[in-house]
Amino acid sequence: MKLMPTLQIKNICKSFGGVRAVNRCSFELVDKKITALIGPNGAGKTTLFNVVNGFIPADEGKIFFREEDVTDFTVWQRSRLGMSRTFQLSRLFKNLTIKENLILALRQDDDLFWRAFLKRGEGSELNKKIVEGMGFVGLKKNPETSVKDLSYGEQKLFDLTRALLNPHSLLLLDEPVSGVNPVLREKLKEIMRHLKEKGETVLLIEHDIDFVRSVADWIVVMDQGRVLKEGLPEKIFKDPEVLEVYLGPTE
Amino acid sequence: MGYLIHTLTLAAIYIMVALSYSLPVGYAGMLNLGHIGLLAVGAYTAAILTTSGISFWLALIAAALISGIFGFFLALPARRIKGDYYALMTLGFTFVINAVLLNWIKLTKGPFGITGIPRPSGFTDPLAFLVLTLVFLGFTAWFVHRVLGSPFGKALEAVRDDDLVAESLGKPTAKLRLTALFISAVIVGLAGALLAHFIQFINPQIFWLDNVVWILAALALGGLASFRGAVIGMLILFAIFELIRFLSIPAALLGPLRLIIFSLLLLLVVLYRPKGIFGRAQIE
Amino acid sequence: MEVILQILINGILAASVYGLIAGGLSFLYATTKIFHLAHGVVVVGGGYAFWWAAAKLGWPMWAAVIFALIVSALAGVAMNEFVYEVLRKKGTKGLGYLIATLALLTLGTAVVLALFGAAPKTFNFETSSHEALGVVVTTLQFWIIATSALLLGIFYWTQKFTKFGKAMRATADNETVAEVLGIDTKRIRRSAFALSSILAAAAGILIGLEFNLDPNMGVLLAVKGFAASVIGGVGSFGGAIIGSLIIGIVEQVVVWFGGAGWRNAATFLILFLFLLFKPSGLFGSKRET
Repeated sequence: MKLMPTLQIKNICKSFGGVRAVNRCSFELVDKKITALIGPNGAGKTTLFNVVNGFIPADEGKIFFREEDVTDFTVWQRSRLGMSRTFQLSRLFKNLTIKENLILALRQDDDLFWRAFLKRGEGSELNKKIVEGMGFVGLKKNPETSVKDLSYGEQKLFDLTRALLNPHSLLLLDEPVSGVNPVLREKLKEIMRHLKEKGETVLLIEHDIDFVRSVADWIVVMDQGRVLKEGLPEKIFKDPEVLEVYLGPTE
Repeated sequence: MGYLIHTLTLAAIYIMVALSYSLPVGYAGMLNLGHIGLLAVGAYTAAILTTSGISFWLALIAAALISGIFGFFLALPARRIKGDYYALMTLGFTFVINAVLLNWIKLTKGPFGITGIPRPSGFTDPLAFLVLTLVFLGFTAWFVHRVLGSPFGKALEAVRDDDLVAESLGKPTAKLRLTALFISAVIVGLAGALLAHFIQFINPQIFWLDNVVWILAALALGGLASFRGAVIGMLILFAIFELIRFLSIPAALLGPLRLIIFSLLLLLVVLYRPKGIFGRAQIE
Repeated sequence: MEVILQILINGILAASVYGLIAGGLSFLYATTKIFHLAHGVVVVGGGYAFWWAAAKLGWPMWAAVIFALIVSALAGVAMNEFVYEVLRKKGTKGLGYLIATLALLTLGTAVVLALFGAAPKTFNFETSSHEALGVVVTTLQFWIIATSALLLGIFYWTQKFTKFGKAMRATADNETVAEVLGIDTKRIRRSAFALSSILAAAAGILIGLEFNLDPNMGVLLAVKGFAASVIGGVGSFGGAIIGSLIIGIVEQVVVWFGGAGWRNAATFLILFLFLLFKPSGLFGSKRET
């Protein structure tokens, strides 16, 4: 039985002004595996990420999520279908506490204003999930802490917690270890291993090759808006074309 | 005594307007300048109906609903048209309403306005009407407070602060904004209807842009995204509004002086204390 | 046929005034990114300053004109220095500027109201009219169109061919890069406000001469100015002119067939359609959305 691909990206094109950031990019994500999207700066990784998530519309091409064509879906529709993401530069709701932020991620029915008048009894349920989520990631902070008081590393962990608590079947991680100190980096590798054990499907962008090598099951290399190569980590990191694209003068 | 009742009734109506306005501006973060147009829709709908013999209560419902519908249409373009351009569009809406009020004379009696608007039977006495207004104020205040304190209110504020992240967490931003603006429009429509039957005479002049400034000043002073901010801000401004009356200056200068004070106040708040007194979000 | 020509002439007349407002507003918005609704009160203020000097104080025309230009320029620059620049330093974004400009607009209107009263002011100007091809044009109207064209032409030439104009366009295009290139963007913004305010004063003077002045015109003129800018494409000078022509002529058509009261509604309808379907306008860059 063939494994149903979680995500299928088909011939996506996106231009800004006259520049083609993504140029007929296609690949598929396999369920329950960690796929890493790598490539030199300007390869189009972040743009593609934003197209997958729905932040920017594609000019051409299609995205299929769990066999459903989500190309024209809004960001929230994709989120409700199961996409969840982190942000490279943390976008926190800086006036809120950790707990308030996480509650936002957990709740999925807060667009119904009349529920303000019904009885609510899910306080303890939410608390339990929050404690679990923070524990899984190792965020040792009082949930009533305001997010703007978190250190950079703590913000990264918080962002991950929030993405995890948001009900999902696909995790999109945007440079999870960028600017992170070595201790936290090792911790994040651990967390990724735990995610794999839980059966999470992950697509991540990263520049840190060592990190990618330790956690990825599959690598997709992008260059100049297209997929240059994809394959298992051992093969990719020995591939001469890939090395050239990384070690070449443009880097 | 009569003066006190009159002032309290007017204050109560304007607190309703301020509360309803805090929804799109303070909580949803929408630069909506069409609110006065919606107040006008509520007032005129009710006035036209009751002066044609329709029951006050039916007119009230109609005013709220029709204003709500206009509010809904005002919110629809918010996804396509953003920021400054959205403000421009809502400003245009207020002008279009004004043009309709001035020119569709058969319906609105044009620049002379509608006079002799009848109070509902049983509430013709000023005190009785005050009580009626306070009941409505109480109800809408409770409703708004409940909704804004609920998960819906939190989701709305998330949309205000960063709509893309809010969407990433599964919040349907368009729907949240539409709901907020609809509720806001229904309430201000009610306020308009009450206003029309309180002063018993309305014309297009009442619903011009200068009124927006003092409602904004009330919200800014009280602080955005704060229930008591809206109430207290409006009370303070209303007090200033009334106190000016007692200054010994020529009547023609009364209006301009009020406007000068309110716009200066607004300017000072924006420049030096964008959080206002109780604000949980600041003007930025 | 004469009807069409008359409508056209009246439309061009209106467009001459709108163009002065929209032209200034368009490049001001492009350069500073500020939604300066208070510009309307700069127009009105200039008109009233002119009226006061010429009709009340009895100054010669040229002195009154210069007076009006100075008053408007000072008003515009002051608004920028004491309000917008302060907001800019604080990192204010859209809502803050919008509320500030509304406050300034209302403040200015109230001051004019307090100083001059609500009754509209007119000039009893003696002017002769001419008839050609069945169309009536007064000498004054002719001079208004000519003056406007001249001013706009000078302005356009400054933008396109002088070093200063180029610095302005660079700032409008990308402020950060302009700074890096050594352009003093604060001075550019100040100059943008001064120049657009001078054009605004000219518009106010012409409105006072041909039509009438009333304190509440400010916001209406500002919105129309923005409408013309959006229709033509913000940042495009030619676009602002075309936008003004479109608005001017459409308004005259509506006045002719539907009555004067509806002409504003017609403008806003067009604005609305453009905002919904082509927010970059006819000639603007896509970036502005």
